[in-house]
Amino acid sequence: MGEELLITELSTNVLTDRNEVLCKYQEFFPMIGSPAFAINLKKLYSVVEGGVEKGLVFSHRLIGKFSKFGKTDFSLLIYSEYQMCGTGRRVVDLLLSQRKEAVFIVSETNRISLSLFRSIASLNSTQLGKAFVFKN
Amino acid sequence: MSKVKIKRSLWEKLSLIDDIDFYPYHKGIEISLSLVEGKTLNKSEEEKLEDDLGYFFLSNGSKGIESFYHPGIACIGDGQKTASYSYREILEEGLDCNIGERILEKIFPDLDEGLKIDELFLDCHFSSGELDSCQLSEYKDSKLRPLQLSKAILGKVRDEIREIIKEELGDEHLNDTLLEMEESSISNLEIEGEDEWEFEIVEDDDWEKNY
Repeated sequence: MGEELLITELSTNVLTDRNEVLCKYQEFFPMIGSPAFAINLKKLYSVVEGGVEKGLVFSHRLIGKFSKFGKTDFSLLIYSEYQMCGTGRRVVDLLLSQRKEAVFIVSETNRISLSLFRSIASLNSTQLGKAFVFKN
Repeated sequence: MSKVKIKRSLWEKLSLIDDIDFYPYHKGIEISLSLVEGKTLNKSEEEKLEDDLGYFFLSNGSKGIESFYHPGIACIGDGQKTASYSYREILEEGLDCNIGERILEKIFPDLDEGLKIDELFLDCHFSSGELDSCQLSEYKDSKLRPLQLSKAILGKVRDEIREIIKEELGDEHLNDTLLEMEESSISNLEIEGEDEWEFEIVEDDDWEKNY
């Protein structure tokens, strides 16, 4: 049996405290620290597996042309030392099991995330500009 | 007027551009360009220009210039000294009141007898203080039937939306609010804004070090 996976809500103020840590991930999250990221951030969750924090989940409200896909987008940030171990997949499975509607927007340049979401049969994908929108 | 920083090599390329559509969202920024007539770029030049414009936009946004928080279109001025930026602030939670219900209650006494208010749905588009389009439909027996609206009723819809905008957003936003409704619910609510950017050129080396 695998280690227990928990997704726990954090205060969004945590982002300011962890700014230096998060800057490492700007290749995949270029908008971290930008107004569009902060304005639309609704909730922030910690991903804890086996008692160890392995990443974060951001929940952003969808605006403008993305709003037709749903109200909220989830973004996964798995810390580099825990990547490629299946944690991201388990987080997505947990989110899908907890929510009737889940939307995941992935940039076309983020090949690792694209391959993860494309492998999940219950998600449909639509291309919108330079992003793919995955939805259950 | 906002003073905005731009690296020299990008600023020099602005002479190729008529206008730029910026669409920032939480995972990136979408950019599309209209080039000056007769100018062309190959694919790699266009990609490089879009990347540089993305960094330009995000960099100025991170310095607290409000117009860089919102999607909009920048029109490059003569001599590339300035650009006028028309942007749209997308409001988060709509309006406090149930706008569809309020409008339907207002016009219901003027509608044909036999209709039921909870079977009516309103779609409309309102901008610059005017009603651009409006459709009322009746959903009954699993069928949607469009209803004809008189000019007087359309006028009442427009006036009620004007009242709601004045109450909820203030008189000053009557002519710069875009409101779209689908099935009696707000599907889009934006306030239009304008900013004038004055470019302050930063040498490329300094830009790479500091921005």
